[in-house]
Amino acid sequence: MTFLNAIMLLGLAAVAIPIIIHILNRRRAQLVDWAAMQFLEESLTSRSRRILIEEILLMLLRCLLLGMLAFALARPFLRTGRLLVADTADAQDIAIVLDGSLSMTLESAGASSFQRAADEARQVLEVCRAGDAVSVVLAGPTAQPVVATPLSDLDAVRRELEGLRPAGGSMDVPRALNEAVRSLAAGSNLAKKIILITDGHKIGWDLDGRKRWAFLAEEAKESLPAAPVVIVRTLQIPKQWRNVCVGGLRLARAVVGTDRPVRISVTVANTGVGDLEPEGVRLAVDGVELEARLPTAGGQARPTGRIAEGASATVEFDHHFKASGPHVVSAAVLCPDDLPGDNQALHVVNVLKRLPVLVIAGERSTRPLGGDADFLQIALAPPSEERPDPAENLIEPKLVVASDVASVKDFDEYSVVVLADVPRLPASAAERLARYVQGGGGVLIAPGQKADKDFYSGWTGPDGKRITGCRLVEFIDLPVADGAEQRFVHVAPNTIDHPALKLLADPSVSDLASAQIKRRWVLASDDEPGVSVGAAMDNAEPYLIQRQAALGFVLTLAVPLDREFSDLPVHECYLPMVHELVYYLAAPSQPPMNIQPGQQIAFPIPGQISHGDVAEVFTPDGQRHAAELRQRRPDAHRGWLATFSHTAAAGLYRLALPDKALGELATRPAVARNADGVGGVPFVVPGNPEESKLLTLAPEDYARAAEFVNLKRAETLSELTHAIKGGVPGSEIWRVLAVLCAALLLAEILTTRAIALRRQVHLARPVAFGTDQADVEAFRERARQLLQTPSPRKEVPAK
Amino acid sequence: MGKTDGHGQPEYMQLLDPEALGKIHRLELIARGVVEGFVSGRHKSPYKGFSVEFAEHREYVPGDNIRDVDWRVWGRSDRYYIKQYIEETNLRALILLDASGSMGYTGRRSARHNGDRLSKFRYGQFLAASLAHLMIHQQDAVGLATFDTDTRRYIPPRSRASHLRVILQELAACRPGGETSLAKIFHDLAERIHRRGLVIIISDLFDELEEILRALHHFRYRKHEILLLHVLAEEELTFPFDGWSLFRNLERLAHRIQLDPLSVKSEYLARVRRFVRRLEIGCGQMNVDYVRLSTRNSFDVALAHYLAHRMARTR
Repeated sequence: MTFLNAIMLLGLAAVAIPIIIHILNRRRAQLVDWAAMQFLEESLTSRSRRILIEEILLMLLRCLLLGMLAFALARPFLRTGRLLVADTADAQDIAIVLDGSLSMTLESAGASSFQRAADEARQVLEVCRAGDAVSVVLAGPTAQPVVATPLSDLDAVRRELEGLRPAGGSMDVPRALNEAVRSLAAGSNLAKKIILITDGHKIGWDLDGRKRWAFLAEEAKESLPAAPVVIVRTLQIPKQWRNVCVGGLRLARAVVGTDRPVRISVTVANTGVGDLEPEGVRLAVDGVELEARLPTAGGQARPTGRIAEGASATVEFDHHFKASGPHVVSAAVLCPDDLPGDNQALHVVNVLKRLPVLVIAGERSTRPLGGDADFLQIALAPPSEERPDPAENLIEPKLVVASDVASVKDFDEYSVVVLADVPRLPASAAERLARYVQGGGGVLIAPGQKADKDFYSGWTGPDGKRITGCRLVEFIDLPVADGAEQRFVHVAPNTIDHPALKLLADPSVSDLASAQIKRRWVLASDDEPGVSVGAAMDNAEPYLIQRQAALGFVLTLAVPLDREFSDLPVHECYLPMVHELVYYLAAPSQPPMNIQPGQQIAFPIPGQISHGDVAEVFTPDGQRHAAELRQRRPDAHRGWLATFSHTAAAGLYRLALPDKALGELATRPAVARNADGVGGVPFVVPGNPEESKLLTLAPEDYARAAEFVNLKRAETLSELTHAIKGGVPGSEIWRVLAVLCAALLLAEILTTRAIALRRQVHLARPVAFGTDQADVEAFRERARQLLQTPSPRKEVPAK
Repeated sequence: MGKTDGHGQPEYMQLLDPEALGKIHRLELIARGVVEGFVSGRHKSPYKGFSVEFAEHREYVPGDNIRDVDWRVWGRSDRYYIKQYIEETNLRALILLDASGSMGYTGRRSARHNGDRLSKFRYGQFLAASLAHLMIHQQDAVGLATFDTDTRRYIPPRSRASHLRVILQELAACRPGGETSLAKIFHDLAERIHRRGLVIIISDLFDELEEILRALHHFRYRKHEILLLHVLAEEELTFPFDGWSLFRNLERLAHRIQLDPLSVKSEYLARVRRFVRRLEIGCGQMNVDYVRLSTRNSFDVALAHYLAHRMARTR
């Protein structure tokens, strides 16, 4: 409690006035010489206790009355919150940052958190004073400036708030605040405030990214006249809420072809409070629901069973994509809950019809299976009963010997290049291959005995670093000892860390560990960022080393993939291993169809582009935006790229292009326009599964953020609006006190009156006395006595 | 002789107010009941036929017995005179004047005498002097006893004219002070006075009421007629104080009570009223002539009123 007129609190000293008056009265008591003391004494004795109580009660009332009066005059102010921001008479620039993350769609009491946030933003506008200017930022995975520069026309800001929808995904707080700072920098008022209205979800604050926060503070310092006050208004979220979400939608392979089925895993997580049993999971490809292998009574949804709080369940589907091109896979968990926004996940699969792989062998052999890459070639395109025509295979290998490598004009025509026991490459080929990797190509190197270790160790890319990420130290050829068991080495499954080999890591289903390695290179990996050992042998030497060079990957194996070096080619695991390695390496060369929020959509246009053609993107919220068309490389002749950068919101984007630009893709179900004219190449910005967990910020989290920005917390809307006005939320209570004063005054009067009545001061008649006065009462009393008592003469005792 | 005032008159003579005496001049104090006297005249005497000595003539006033008219004087002067005798009566009256400290109270509303407010004691002095003068004037024997906790002075009843001076001197010399012990004094005196007579008590009677009544009963038992002149100040009857006051006991100066008078006013007045009523009833039951006298009223008016009333009742 504070006092607006605190000086009047001195008036509380008036409480002593009745006491002082009482004491003075007693001290100034008039001395009266008195005769009839016996009556006075008797009166006092019989009433002293009551008199004391009456006096104390009266004095208490009077003291209270005066105290209350002084208290009321001091204008006490009852705070309902804290003083967040000191008052300022100046106009101010206010940036309202609305949390547009997925968790803000959580509904409680008939409204979503985002609706409540928008309502509070409107309340903020209500308390803005003339001259205040307001900008609005919608904070999702990226910061979307809704009102980019502060506007004094608050009605315009209100209109912008009307149509605002959550962006989905997670809010990137530093980015949002950066955007707010940028908008405030465009304002002309000196006082700056940022109001972040959020549900306090911890995801997206990136409190460990201290550099980002430091950068934010630095930018605020440089671009604003004074550090802005960041007022975080945390909305209350319900304590009891039910939620299941699709926590993951993954395909078993990064590259999916039309040649074979692919396994699709859908993870369903219970992130709410209490156990839940969803009706099932439904998977659809291009809007067509997949037939479930295990039909349930409720339909075709795959059951998940009961999921405990905090637990998850995975449901797997197998699907064979028959047509190449992009397909939209959607997985939905069927369960009514409080956060329906995360009950569905999307994924775009770009199904390939063919995957060209260039295999460069050290030398050609005239013997069957005698060449350096014969086994490999067969493994890449194995003949089968299902696909008697090798052309139906996804992987389309092409073999050239190292001496003919110059004939390969453009490595970019291949998704993957394999160097199988190649001693060395010509300098020009090595340089072109290095650029190929930089551009997203994948290279698998399996050096053999003939390999020139100086070439491989010294093969560097445009950045001056080794392409392989390792050095070839020495080639070890185990001697064949008569009668003695050869000491082979094996791949150690427990050391497998590479995604491409994960399938083979389980010894119960993979025979990789039993493959005997007779000859091998001892590799020494570079201590560089981007270099990692993906698997090792049981003698701790690296088996697979990965190097990421710009967009592409280079994988170097310690053992060639030929029968001459190990018996791996005769193992079951050989074929899947080769395929997985190729798929993995081929993945970066595919246009990314599932992108992170804010990441640019870059789609290589397969068809023709004419001057004047336009590309546009349909965003998840139904808006239509223009996309940029540009050549893939300024010096290249290899076609065009369509790019689009505003991918803040999670959901499905569609890049619409002229049919001739799409070529045969235009007819694909996932690309074709629907009746509304919406269509195009699909892209998905996935939501953040963590957003479904509603981990709220702790006080220490706010404290960490406050190390960088002047952060204040508003617990209530009242605190928020008062923070805008610069006042303290609360109300004066002088009216209540005035009523109390009146009540006390009345009580004092009534008590005084009651005491007077009880003392009968007004009825206190003087005693009738003297010869000329008749005391009526005395007369009556005497008459009564005379009537009741015998004659006075009889009373006189006889002598 | 005692002190004199500015006019050469003895101080005790101030107790005889000429104006007051003028008012009671024609009145006689006649015993209502039976008194032990010799003269069959104004007082009914149990000793009838006893001769008396002529003393003087007095002008007839209506109400005098027609038998007492001196017809010879009427023959000479054509005026009615009454023959008065030295031993006209044997009425013996004893005036008991309370001289305790409580009688010293002088209220602000008391009657004035020569510009001064009268205390209860002073009021009683005047009353006693007037009564003594009246009775001496009637040839009655009158005595005086002053007391507080004890009998200060006892002057036996005499009817000589010079006895008045003795009484007046004693009255003038007496000063109020000390505590009261009425019942004890009354009992003592009741034992001390053997001949039946009139006992005139002038007091505020601030003592134990039941004790007082028992003492009065003792007088009555001794066949004394009692005239109880209850003197109170106006303040004692109205309690007009309204501010915090420190009441100091006039009988014991160390005894003080500090209070807000309004808080006990009604209670106090009720107690005084009860006291007076009880006293009046007690007196009525004992056939004691009880007279209330407030110092606010001039004592002579009150006295004259009483005497007129008494005479009217007697005749």
